[in-house]
Amino acid sequence: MRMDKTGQVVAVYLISHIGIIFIFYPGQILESAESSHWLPITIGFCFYLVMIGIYLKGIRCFGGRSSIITILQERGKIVALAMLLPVAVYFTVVAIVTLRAYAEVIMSLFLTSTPIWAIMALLLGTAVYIAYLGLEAIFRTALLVVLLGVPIILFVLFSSFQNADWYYVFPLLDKGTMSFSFLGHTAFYKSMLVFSGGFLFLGFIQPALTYKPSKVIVACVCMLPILLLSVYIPVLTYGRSTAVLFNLPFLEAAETVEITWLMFDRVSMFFMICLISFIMLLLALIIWMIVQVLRMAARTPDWVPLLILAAIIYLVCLFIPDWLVLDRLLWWNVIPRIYSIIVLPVALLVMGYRYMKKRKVEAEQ
Amino acid sequence: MKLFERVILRLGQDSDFIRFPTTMAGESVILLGYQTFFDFAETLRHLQAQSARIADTEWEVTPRLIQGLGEFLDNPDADMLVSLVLRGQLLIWFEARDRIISFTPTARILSRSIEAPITESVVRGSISAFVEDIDTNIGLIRKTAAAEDLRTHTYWTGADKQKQIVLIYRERCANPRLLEGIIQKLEENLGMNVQNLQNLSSMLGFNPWTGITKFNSTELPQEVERALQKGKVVLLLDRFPFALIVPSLLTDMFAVENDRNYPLVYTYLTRFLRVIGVLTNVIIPGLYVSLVSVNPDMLRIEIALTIARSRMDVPYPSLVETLLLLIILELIIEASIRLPKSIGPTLTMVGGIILGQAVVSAKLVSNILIIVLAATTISSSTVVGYHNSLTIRVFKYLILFLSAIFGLYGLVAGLVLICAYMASVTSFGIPYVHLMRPNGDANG
Repeated sequence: MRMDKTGQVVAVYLISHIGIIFIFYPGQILESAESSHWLPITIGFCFYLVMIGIYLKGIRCFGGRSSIITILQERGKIVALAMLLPVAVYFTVVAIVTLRAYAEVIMSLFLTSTPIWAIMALLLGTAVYIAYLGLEAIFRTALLVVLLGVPIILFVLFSSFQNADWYYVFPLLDKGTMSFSFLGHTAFYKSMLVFSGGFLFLGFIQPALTYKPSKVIVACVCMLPILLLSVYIPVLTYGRSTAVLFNLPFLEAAETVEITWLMFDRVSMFFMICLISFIMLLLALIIWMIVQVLRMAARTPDWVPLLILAAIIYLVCLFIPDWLVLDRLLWWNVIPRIYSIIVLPVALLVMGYRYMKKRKVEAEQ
Repeated sequence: MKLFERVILRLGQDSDFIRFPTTMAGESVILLGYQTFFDFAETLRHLQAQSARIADTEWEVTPRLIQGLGEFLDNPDADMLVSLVLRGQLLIWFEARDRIISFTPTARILSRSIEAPITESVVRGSISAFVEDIDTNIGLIRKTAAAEDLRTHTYWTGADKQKQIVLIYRERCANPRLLEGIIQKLEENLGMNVQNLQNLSSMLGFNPWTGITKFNSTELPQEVERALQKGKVVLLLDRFPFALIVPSLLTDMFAVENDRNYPLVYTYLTRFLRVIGVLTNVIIPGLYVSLVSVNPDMLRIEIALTIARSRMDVPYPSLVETLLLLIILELIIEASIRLPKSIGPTLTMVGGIILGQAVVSAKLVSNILIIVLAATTISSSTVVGYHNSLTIRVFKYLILFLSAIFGLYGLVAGLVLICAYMASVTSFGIPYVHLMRPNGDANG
């Protein structure tokens, strides 16, 4: 039963981005520019759009119906391993950073007295269980979680305009920002983290789940308002100079919301628990992708690399003492990241064109 | 004849087994069968009337009249004859000619007549329900579905092939992979004994430890009609007054066919209500525990204080408190199924008094918890089908324990785990989280 699963793919796509955006993105963008934040957001987003376009186009050159693992394996196992192992390394580091960072956020928001190893164990355990259930289960779970979570997310997004002061939008055209000074700021490049985990999965899921690339692009464009909201809600609430001081600007802005008819005091917590559920799925997806790459090297049942990987991630996370180490880890990961989001899509596209040319020549002969 | 004596030897010791010598059409015959299956006097009268007409005809020249009596058995063996007798047939043995006819006698009525459903009440819609007799049930389905492409297959299962399972589907609608899978499994495992649904599910190759029922059972023919139209397959078991619809899907928790007898708005509103019911039942006990013991800062200060005040004299943690009362509630539900209808109200009254007043004034639990658990129990019954309510009743404990340890974070993890579990369940390639829509129907 091969059916079009565009809905599920779009759900996973949104989940994998929203979970990270509201936590990591606003802080970095606020740091990178004084005002007119729409410009760095749009520039970053356009770059991302181009990359995802190249990636999808590259897959399409090979018929658009198979995963990049099979595509690359057709060109030899060594080539495939050489091209995908850096991606696996990158994903592993992303999984470690995400797990550790979110455990830290959860601890500071919900569970100040619970030991972090327990929080990480539950987060990782859930993700590994979902990854174990397989690709299709991940995507169906995503659909259910989106159905449950999106109403809450939308509610909080709308209500967080409660304390907005619209004068903070100005100046729309700031001289400093218009000279693209943010391009020289490391924070701008760090902000790109939110784009990098999310889109590579599009190459891994076919042919089990087929989708229409055009609709994914549409979903991708929908990300722009989300990015703008994540940055502008804290700016409108506090102003840039205050907002930049916070560790998690968006959540701080949501904290200010006061809804008298609700029995709960902190609406932002509901937002946060939705994000956590999204993160669990993102982790599951990332772990599943690493396992797919690892299984290429050695044909074993799924659970063997899964358990080894989970153990590695968990142990590394236990040895990370604080945010500073986490930040350094993010910097070390920059080369695999550039490889994964720039080199791999471009290489795929080049290979795709050559493949198409070859087939054309063959067809003419 | 050796064959006939073998049959008599195998069944003859039963007190209700008859061996009745008589004459038909001038020939001496012996009738064999269980008189508990049919009305013997009526059958005999019928046979005599038939044989009077046969009397003048020549056996070999016009066999048609004799065939009118029943089926001629060519080269029967003892097993076949025994199984015919056990299914309620009357065997007629023409001694001189050594021919056996299997005759369908006037059956005794061994079933209830068609009544209103007992486990699914219908407010507006047809109220005839299935009964124990499998033929009546097939008839009801045929009458309701009124479709030319309705196909039935009978399988005789068990070590001695005595238990009847009927497979029903619609040729044009049925999901081909599903149908193929079920037929293949049934044919592979014909030798298995099917006495209950656990047997049937192992016959179909389902995991016995699944937390989600793989059959959606219903008493109502209109539910079956809709399911068939959606491409599902229906199994009927003899002496089982429910139709079993395969696969059971998540939507079956929320939707019944009778919702469609109201304006569309109310259909959707009722279903939405059931979704809320399921969520309430699964989430609320866990939410109470996490808000009271782990994350009280989430609550508005007034509510937090009210809860704290009501729990002031309660000597144990909120998890124990909740578990204690939840188990009592489960016991009440179980007891009210067990009890005869005449004693049931007593139980409700006792339960109501104990839970409503005494437990609170004895300071064993807080009175907010009573409200929470009342909401939980009521909402566990809004879900469609008792088998589904069992599932969500169990799920809430997972969330309860995770919430007690991790607070709201545990609650979310529990919800995601449940979603993942439901998403991973498939039967014959059809995922549990799946909408099966009938062809050409806009609002499935």
